[in-house]
Order: sequence, then structure tokens, then C-alpha cells
Amino acid sequence: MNALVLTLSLIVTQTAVASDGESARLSFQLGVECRDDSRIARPHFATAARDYRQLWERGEHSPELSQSWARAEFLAGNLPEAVATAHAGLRLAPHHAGLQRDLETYRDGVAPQLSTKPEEQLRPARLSGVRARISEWDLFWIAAGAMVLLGIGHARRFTSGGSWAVPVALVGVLGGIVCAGLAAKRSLEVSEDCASTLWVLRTDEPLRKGNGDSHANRLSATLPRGTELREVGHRGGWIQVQVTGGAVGWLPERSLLAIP
Amino acid sequence: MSRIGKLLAVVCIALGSTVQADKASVEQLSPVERQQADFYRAIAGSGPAVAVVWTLDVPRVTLGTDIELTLVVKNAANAVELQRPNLADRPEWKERFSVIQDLPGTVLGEFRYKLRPRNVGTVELPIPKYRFYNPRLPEGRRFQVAFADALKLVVLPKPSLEKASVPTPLDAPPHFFEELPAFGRSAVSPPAISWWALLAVAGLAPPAWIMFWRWRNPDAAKLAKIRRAKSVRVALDGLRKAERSPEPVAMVSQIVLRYLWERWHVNSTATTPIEVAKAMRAEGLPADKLDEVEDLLRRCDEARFAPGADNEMTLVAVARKLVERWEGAAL
Repeated sequence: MNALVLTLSLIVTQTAVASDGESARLSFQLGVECRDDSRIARPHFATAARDYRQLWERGEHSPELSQSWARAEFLAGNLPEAVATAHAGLRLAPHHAGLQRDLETYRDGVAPQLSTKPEEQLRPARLSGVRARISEWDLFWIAAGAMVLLGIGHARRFTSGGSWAVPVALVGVLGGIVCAGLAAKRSLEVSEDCASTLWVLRTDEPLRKGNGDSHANRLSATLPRGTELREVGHRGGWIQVQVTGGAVGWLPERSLLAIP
Repeated sequence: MSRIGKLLAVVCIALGSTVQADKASVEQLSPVERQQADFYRAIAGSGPAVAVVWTLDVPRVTLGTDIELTLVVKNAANAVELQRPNLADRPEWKERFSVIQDLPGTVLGEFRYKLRPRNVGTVELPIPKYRFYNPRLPEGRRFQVAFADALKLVVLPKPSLEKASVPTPLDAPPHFFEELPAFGRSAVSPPAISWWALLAVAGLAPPAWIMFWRWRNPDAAKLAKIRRAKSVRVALDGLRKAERSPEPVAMVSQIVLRYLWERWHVNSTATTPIEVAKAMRAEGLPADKLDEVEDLLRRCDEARFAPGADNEMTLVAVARKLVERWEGAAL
């Protein structure tokens, strides 16, 4: 009986996932067809974004889904949501070139900061390091290749011999060491990324010197929506954040958007 | 001077001093008093106390447009001397307004400002204190504050461009409108079991292959075993190369001599069959091996200098068999 209920619920979930996916695609295509008039197109993209969000909330986590969802949010005019969603995808797959490119496009849409002070710079640097270039699958295949070479070298050395057996085995060992080093570096970079919470500013908001509206502004200009900020602390509905340039200040929690 | 004349003079002096007393001026205040904070030179007259009124021309404004703020100072005895409060230098005003500009007043005691709000929302105007001087009060309490009602301004967002009647196309890179990438349950990272499987295969496959190969090729396994000695490996590889060499016989004799020197420590200066046999005897090698080597070297010499002798390939094969047999016996 339990198995039957489980099977039925699985079928229902799969059907719902498939229907939401199709519905999202359909809404997106409708939006694309109406792209010449943003007033008509945006609601279609907003519907597509809502469907993609539902898929994500059901556990369908994949970089491709987050890419589609972020694009739908962007085309619906929800820039902060697009930035946050692209980050959600990049957490899954930091090496995803499409998501990295899309995120740069969204960042272009954030109003530029006119201040020349380095501490007031808002735009983060492009994602770099090992995690931005090499996936876990890449590491796996490098390790597999190294193991194959090591195995062939050993097998040859202890069977028919041959002058190339030892060099091939050494190349395999070297490959294994390189693979382990890359994996360690990648793991370190990912853990550094996760060390502090990332927020995206939902609306234009001044960065305050304290956790209250009565405090003076920390920066000469208001922070534009879509700005990415790192959490430093929080108190009473306010979050202390740091902008890319290093300036630290407070923002109300309601004005911030968490990464899904 | 007559008595009437004296009386007139006293009255004139009294009237003059009264007029002088009514004509209030900041010049009558000491320099220290004039430096009081938030004192804009207002001096109360003989009537009611000085009052200030701040007004906005509109209570609601759209972001990006200007508003007008007016300050009216009432009941000041020295309206000509009044000073304008400088809002542009106050940080709390600069924080709320991007433009703070002075405008000329229409009457004495009126000060006008042009303001442009920075942000959308309700803005509470930080009205500054307005201190005035009241000469009728006792010494030490003559500076008083004229309070004003709080002012709030509602700043509305700019009207969206979408409300324009002309349709505007969506601004996005062209590839954003292309077919979306397919998504599914593809794993973004290999499952943990893949790594264990890889390690297991890497650890087990080579030994398994080696065991299988030795089971299928017992002779080759034995050969592989003897090849672990460098001198043997060099000799066998050299003999293989000799088959393709233009002078195979010369190579065979050199390889055999080197093998004897490296593996059996036979004197390296011995080169002729007799010398080699002598050196081998000195090392205590068995007589059958001694005869075998001497015979091989003699046949090599014959092959090199007496045509019609043994075939070169035969000598290579004999030399290989010699090495393999000796190593088999040695092991």
C-alpha cells in the first residue's frame, strides 16, 4: 500500500514538474514573440519566471534551470531577482560559462556608481580561479586518465616490460598529483565563497552608518538595485553589509534579497 | 537760556533717547553674543516674540523635480538685518536633497530655497533651530528659540517609461531570446560512488591483468622476471636491435662480452675467445658455460671473416638462448 502511494506521488510530482517546465517554456516563447512591446512581453516573462521558481522550489536544481529562470526574471524587469538567481546557479556549477556571461550582463544593468573612491566601488570582479574553469566532472576525468596511465605503465612494467612503461606510469602519478592539487584549490575557493552570506539589493537604498533610518548615509550616493553585498552582521531587522570596494554599512533586511 | 528753553531741550533729549531705544540692532550686542549658535540676527521688538514659519509649495513631488521651501520670520524688530540660514552646508540637508539653492525673498524677513529630493519616500525636513534675542528679558535669558512645526515631503517615483503610448522593445542581448537550454536532472558533480569505483578499478585492474597475463604466458612471465636485471634487459634489447643492424654479428659479440662483464664480472679487457675463456675460468664459472661462450664467440668470428659460415640470424638466436638459459639457471 505504501509503495503504491509512493509511486503515485512520484508520478504526480513528475507530471507537475513536466507541466511547469512546459508552461514556463510556453510563457517564455510568448514573451519572445512579443519582445517588440515590453508592456506585453514582460508579464509573459514574469509568468515564466514564476513557473521556473516553482520548479526550483520542488528541488529541480540545475544550472540550466537557474539560467532560464534568471533570464526570465531579467526580461520581466526584475534585475535583482535575475542577479540572485544567477548566483544560485553558479553555486551549483561555478564553472558554467553561460551563467558567468549572463551574470555579467545583469551587472551591466545595475546603475553605475559615479564615485571614484575605491571603497565605494560596487561591481564585483568576474568569477575567477580554479572553480570558474574546472568542474568536478573535469577533475574526475583527469583523475581517471591519470589512473589509466598509471595502470598501463604498471601492467606493462610487470608483464612484457618496455622502455615506456615507467615514464607512462610517472605521467599517471603526476596527473594524479595535479588532480589532487586542483581539487584542493577548488574546494578552498568554494568554501571561501560560502563563508559569508551574499545578498542582492531589491530597491535603491542608502547605505546607513547605523542600523536605523536616523543614521547618516555611509556613501555619497544611494546604492542601486541589483547591487551585490556580503553580510558582515545583523541586528534588529537590519543587516550590516560590505560592498565590493570595502565600505561597510547597514541596510534594512526588507530591502535585501537572499540567494534562492 | 530761559526756563522754557531748558524744558524744551530736556523733552527733545528724552524723545531722542526713546527713538534710539526702539531702533533695535545687532550692533548693540557684544561680539560674543552675536556668535551664538543658530542665531540669525533676529531681535524681538516691543510686541510679540519672534516666530518662524517654514512652508513647502507642494506636499508631494516626483523624484527629479524641484520644490520650493520658504522661511518667514515674523515680529523681528530688525528685519533688514536678518541673516539667511545656510541649509546647503548642513549634512542632514545634503543627505536628503541633491540640489539646495537660495532664491531671493519677496519681502523682508522671507527666505526661499529651491530643493531637489534624492530618494523616493517620505522625507522629514530637518528644520534647524531658530534662536533670537529678546532685550526685554533679564540678562542671561535673552536668547530664546522660536520653534516651528515639523514638515514632511512625499517623494514619488518617476513615472515609468512603459506608460508611454509608444511601444518600447525589450532591451537585452539577442541570445537571451534564443531557445532556452534544456534542463533536467543531470548531475553537476560525479556521485561519491564514482570516485570509489575509480579508485577500486585503478587498484585492482593492473594486478588482475598482470596475473592473467602470466597465467596465459608462462614463458613470457619468466622472461619478464629475468628482464628485471638491467644487464639482462640491455643484452636482450641489444640482441633484438642487432637483428635489424647492418653488422649483426659484431653487435652479438659485443653484447655477449658486455653481458659477461656486467652480469658475471668477467674481466672487460678480454675480447678474443681464448681470453674470455681464461677470464671466465678465473671467475670460477662452470666449464660447460665456458665452452658455450667460447664456441659462440668463435662462430661469430668465423661469420665475420669466413664467408659461408653460420647465418647471422642464427647467431643472434643462439646468443639470446644463451642469455635466457643462463638467467634461468642463475635464478
